[in-house]
Amino acid sequence: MDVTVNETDGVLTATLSGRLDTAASARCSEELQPLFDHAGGAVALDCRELEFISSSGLRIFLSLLKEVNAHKGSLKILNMNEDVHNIFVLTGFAKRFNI
Amino acid sequence: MKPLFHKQIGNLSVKLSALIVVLVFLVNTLSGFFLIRIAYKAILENTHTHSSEVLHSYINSIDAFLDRIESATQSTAQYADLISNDPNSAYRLLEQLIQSCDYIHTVGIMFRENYYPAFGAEYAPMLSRIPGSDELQSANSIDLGFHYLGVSDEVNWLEGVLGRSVWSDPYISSQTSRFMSAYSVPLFDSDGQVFAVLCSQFELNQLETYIEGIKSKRLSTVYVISHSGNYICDNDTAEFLQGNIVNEAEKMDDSDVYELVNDIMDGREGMKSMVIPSHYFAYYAPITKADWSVVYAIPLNNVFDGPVTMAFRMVILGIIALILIFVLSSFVIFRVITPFTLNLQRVSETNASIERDLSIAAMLQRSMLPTRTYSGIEGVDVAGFLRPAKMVGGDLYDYSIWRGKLYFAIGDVSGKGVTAAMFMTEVITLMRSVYISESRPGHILNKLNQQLSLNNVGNMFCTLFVGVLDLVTGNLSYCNGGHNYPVVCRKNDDGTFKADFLPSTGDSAIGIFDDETYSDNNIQLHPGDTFFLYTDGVTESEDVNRRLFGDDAMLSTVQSLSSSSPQEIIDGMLKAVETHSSGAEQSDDITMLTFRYSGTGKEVLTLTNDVSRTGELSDWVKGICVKYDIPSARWFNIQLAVEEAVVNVMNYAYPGQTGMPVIVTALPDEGTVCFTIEDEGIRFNPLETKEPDLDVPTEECPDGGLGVFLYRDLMHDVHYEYTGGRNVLSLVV
Repeated sequence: MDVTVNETDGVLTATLSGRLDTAASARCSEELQPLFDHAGGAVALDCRELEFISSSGLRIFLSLLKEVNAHKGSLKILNMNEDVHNIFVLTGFAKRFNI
Repeated sequence: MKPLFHKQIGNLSVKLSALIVVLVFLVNTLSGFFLIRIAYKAILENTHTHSSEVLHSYINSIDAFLDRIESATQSTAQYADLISNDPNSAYRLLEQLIQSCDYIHTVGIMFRENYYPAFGAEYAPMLSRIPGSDELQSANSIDLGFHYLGVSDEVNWLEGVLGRSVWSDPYISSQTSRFMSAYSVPLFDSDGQVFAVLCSQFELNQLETYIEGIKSKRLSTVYVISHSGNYICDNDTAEFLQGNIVNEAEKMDDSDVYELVNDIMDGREGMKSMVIPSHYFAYYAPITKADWSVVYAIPLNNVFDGPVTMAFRMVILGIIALILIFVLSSFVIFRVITPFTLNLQRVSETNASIERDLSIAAMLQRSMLPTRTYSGIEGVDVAGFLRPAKMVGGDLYDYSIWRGKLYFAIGDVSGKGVTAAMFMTEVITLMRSVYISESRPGHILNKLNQQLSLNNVGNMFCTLFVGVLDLVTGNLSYCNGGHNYPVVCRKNDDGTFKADFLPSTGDSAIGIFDDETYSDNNIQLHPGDTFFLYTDGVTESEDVNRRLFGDDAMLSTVQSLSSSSPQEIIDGMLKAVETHSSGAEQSDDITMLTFRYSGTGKEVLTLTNDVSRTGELSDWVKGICVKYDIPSARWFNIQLAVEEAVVNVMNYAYPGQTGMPVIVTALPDEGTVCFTIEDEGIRFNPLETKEPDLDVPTEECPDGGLGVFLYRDLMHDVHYEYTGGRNVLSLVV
């Protein structure tokens, strides 16, 4: 699981790659801290290379969304693959997130 | 449709009637043939008897005719002395003689030459009747051309001269120019010498008239033949028949005719069937008095005229009768069979519909049987066979793998046919619903028995063997509800096999008493062991002499096939049974179920309650998916579900403890795979947790509960049980 964070045109984008399973979620959570800190602005999660996501991974996404909503920022999720998207649909997350 | 149908009945009745007519014709012809033969013989016999009688009556009559002439002549001959002394007495005596017999036409005495010289050398006084008058005419026959000693052909009286009375052949009288015959008597003088011949002549037509008077009405002919073969008379022709039968025979030159003529000439009596000149019967016999013969001839067509006419009429009547029979029977058969045929049509339509229903039922019943095959990764190889004796049957077998356990059953419902089949369906359906919640055979049977005993109006019952084989441990728990003892074929260490019956568990058939309780029994199977189940259709299959196949033959067949695959065991057993019962009809359903335990079905991953090892878990799950040939599109969800379940256990089963075991096992399950997650932590049923409410606003959205929600949603079936101090969570993919 790798996380890289870039800022482009005022949007802070984290690119996730690999498997976001339970084992990886603690570290992932830490690495996404810049986005939590930037919750009042525009943040994005690029899931182009995200292969797998567990419920702990979903919780990180949910925490980030709550944080962004609290600070009136914006969160955008980009390029989810079909499997991950299905899980978003299944859990109702697809309606909550700006995908 | 209906006119066509009527036409068919019409055709049928015409055909039947034609058959009847042909039969009647044959019977009639045959009996007619025999009747004609019998009648022919009887008629012939009757004709012969009758004709012989007629012949003799003719002979008697002719005899009587001749006798009158003879006796009159003989009585005159008694006066020979008088005549020899007094030539004048001759006329007086002759007159007396001619007056004494109507038949006599002419009488005369021919004296020896110079016997009465006063009357000349040749003296032959004669009296004859004058036609149409009572007067008699006297003459000396010498004047009429009479010559002595046979020089004249008028009277052959030489025989008379030689001393014997004699009837002459016919001749034409020179006096009257009529056909005559004469009776000549010699007259002896006192020295015993013939001195004259007394001669009485009659006209042959006199005899003809006489015969005519006694003639039968038949178209028959009577001939009188003289001793030299000349015709004396017949009754048919007014004209005298000139001729001689010997000459005629020579002309005809036929052996039959010769024979007939010889017989007649020899004075024999007899009968001959002649073909020349036409078919006739000739009856003949001699008249001893005159050395003549009488022939009585009847044409054959005359004999059979009556019978032939009658036979012809009978044939005509027979033909008319046959036509009548044909018309009447056609009509009657048509009237009689129409309602039957209509009925038959209804019955056959109903039958066809029942047949259709039955074949659908048979198809449905077949479809109830398991068809899944296990390739071996499940740890077991199973094969089943069911062949009902009728379209549908009461035998059943079932098998399926649930959460690593092979559930199997074989049963036989009492009775056969549709009722048995319906009960069988009920049993198999109930049983499958019970598997879900019960893994102990005794309990499965308890529930089935209770259900089936209620409202069992047909008093049906079912012998049922239920077994549950743990594919991981090889433990087989079972209960035998009154069914035939299965065969366990053990694999010995040296690779040989030993087949034996699995003894009774003392349980009875289901469906009878609802308070019956059923036992659980256990044996351990080892890899390579084979289990063979069957119904009595196998062991009680009969050969043509009603001998049973038997337990011993069945057991030894299993033993001999023990190294073969389950399918081969079933094929081999079926072949053995069919060889035994070859030619005999299958009397009972034949059902077999067999499996071999290989013990290679389980995969185990032992973890501790450490979430950092989920990567290892994912890889292991992926390996299982590959092994079970699960499409890669589903891997993501399977990995996610297993991970969520395992992580859940890791996080909550052992509060405050580390390094505690979390065991993940992959087991075959109905063609797919079942993951079980076991732990020894606090008892907790995750399925009882409330599902998270995902419709609330994001701010209120809970953090927890998502994992349980995910695996319950993603998996086909999720099952929890707490057994032996362990939480066991099963996820069926």
